[in-house]
Amino acid sequence: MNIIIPAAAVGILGLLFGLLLGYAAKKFEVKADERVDQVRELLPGANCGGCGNPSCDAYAARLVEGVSGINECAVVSNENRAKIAAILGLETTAMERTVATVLCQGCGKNSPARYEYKGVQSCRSALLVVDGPKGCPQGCIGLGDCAAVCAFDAIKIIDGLPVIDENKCHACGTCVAACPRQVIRCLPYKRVARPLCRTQLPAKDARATCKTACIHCGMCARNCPQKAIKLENGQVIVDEALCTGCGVCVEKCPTKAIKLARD
Amino acid sequence: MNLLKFSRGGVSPLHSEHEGKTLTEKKPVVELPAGKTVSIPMVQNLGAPCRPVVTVGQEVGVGEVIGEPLGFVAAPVHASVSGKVIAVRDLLHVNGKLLPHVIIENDGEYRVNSALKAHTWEEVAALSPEALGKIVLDAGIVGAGGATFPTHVKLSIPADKKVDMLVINGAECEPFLTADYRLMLEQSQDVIDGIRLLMQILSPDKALIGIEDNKPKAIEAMQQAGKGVPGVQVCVMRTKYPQGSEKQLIEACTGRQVPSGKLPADAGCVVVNVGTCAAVADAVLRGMPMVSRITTVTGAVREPKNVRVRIGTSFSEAIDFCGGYEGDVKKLISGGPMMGVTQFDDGVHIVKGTSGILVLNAGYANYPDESSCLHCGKCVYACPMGLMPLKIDLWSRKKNWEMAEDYLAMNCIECGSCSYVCPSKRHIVQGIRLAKAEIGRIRREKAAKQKEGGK
Repeated sequence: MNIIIPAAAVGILGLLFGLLLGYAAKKFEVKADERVDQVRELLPGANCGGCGNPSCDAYAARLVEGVSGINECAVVSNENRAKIAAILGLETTAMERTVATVLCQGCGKNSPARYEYKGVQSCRSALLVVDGPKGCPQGCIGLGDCAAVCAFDAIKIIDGLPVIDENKCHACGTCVAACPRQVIRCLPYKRVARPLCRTQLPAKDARATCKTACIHCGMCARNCPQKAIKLENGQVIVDEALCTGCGVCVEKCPTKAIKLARD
Repeated sequence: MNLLKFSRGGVSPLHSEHEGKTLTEKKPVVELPAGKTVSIPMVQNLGAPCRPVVTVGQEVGVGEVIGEPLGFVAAPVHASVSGKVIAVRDLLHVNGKLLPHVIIENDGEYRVNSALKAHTWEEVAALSPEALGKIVLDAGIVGAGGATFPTHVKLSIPADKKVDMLVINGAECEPFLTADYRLMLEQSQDVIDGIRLLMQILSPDKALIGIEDNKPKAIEAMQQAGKGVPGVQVCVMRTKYPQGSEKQLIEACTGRQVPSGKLPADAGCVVVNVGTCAAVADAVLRGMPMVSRITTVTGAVREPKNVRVRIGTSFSEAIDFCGGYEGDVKKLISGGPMMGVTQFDDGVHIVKGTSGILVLNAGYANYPDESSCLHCGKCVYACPMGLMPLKIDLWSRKKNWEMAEDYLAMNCIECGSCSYVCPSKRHIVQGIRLAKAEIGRIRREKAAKQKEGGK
């Protein structure tokens, strides 16, 4: 019989606190904008940081506040972006799929290191030691600062060069920001020509440092049937809207410094 | 005798081998004849680079300006030989980058540019401090100790600060190097003349010459030469690395501490290297700008020497002059073993800050793999700035620059004491240097943003 009194006491106390909490929850309810949750549901949830916010939650809140723009997230699908736009009453157009591309082919074989680097294994650190082990001042250093920040595990370093898995890459842009030499850029996924060398060195020096260096000969620009390629300030620039991916430039390039996507 | 020293940390590299200085200590400075061509880099100092002002084919004399500074924190560059300019092109620089060099074909006559003007002591007495400072600037004088900070910037003290101490750096605490030591022995009068000129510019109460006690002859020579010059005094310091670092030297000689994040002028001091003093004397009394310097070529070379080289001579020429490499060479360093910059190509050219060319064989240079931090705290005891190098390094590797800044990464002087004592052979200084570079970048970005916002 002794069990009944304590059991009843605890039961009544529980009931009282339950009622109190229920009342407090109603009384002190913080009105949250339910759109934040809806938007959050539609965002990819990878927390990659590509938009500059620490998480998808933070981005959703800023989106609803109207601080961030709807096109800042490169990862979300066009379908979901349209849904978010509908929720927020914004206008959006479908974005073309892009993919991070390494604009350098200076792997260990093509561009041998100037010296053996044994310091801290990070590109930015290596740059502090007589300007990095690679001879080309615009080339990839290959110690994987990009791979370290990729939230989608899309980057692997193979023979001193990042290789991007285009199926995993969502073009969030964190690797673009992490690269101290701006070697990585988000380029269209469709089959267009991609100039894969950014060197500013004169042809002779460029060839001495790297087998696949652009020598600024202009063969690609001269032979392009669509006139989609320009040579500006020593940089090959492809107009992706005009390029049809015919591959003439790839054939004509003497150093194989320009390639089609997924070749 | 109670010797002066800085209070915290420090290491004694190669103490049992007389800091490696026995190789060249007793060798008098010899002139290294310049080669057929010299390639003079347009980047020779901390701060802004220079713009070449000569054209290909132009005849230049020794001491003629070939590079004009692009900014206040910079010093002009002068031709170190006479002859014809044959090219202006990008070559490998000691900092590993391809930078513009002016290449001059040496005619072997060393014809001195007629525009240079020497001053007698009577003329100097009539000059104002500003006029003297202008001569220092025009002579392209930068800190000869290795950091190559333009000397005229050090000498322009803001009006709200008062400098009452001139500290002369004769510590030469880097192992192996004996360039400053030989200079103090052989050109003690020049050093004292330079100090008198600097005292006229800054009008301090005292000039203290700090010399470590492993150089007794230099101490004696400087005491002899400084006799009768009011205010000049030699401070004998205990041999300890990094005694020749600005902040440590000030503490050892004057007992003052430079506040965190501030300059020596905030402690009422200006620190100048003995080599710089001699260069100032050269510039004012003989009219000769900084076109040559004393460099120690030592280590695994057949005949280690102290040489006077003209700026723009290549490392390989200097090494050939000293009999070439000897044995199994592992490392080539521009500067001393603690703070010098390792080179991968001996085709680079000597700049105003090349205090030594050090060749290390397998006995000294080994490349152990780094292992995990043991948290033993040896680096904390060794740090002369009282920092926790292990913590800064760990935050730096996690790319957490805010935490690295909280652990006062910006106070690091990059002396290398922590890496030297680390039993795990961790690249601590490199980690800290990365943190410093990133913190600096973030600060600059913030300042730029604020500027934009203010508009």
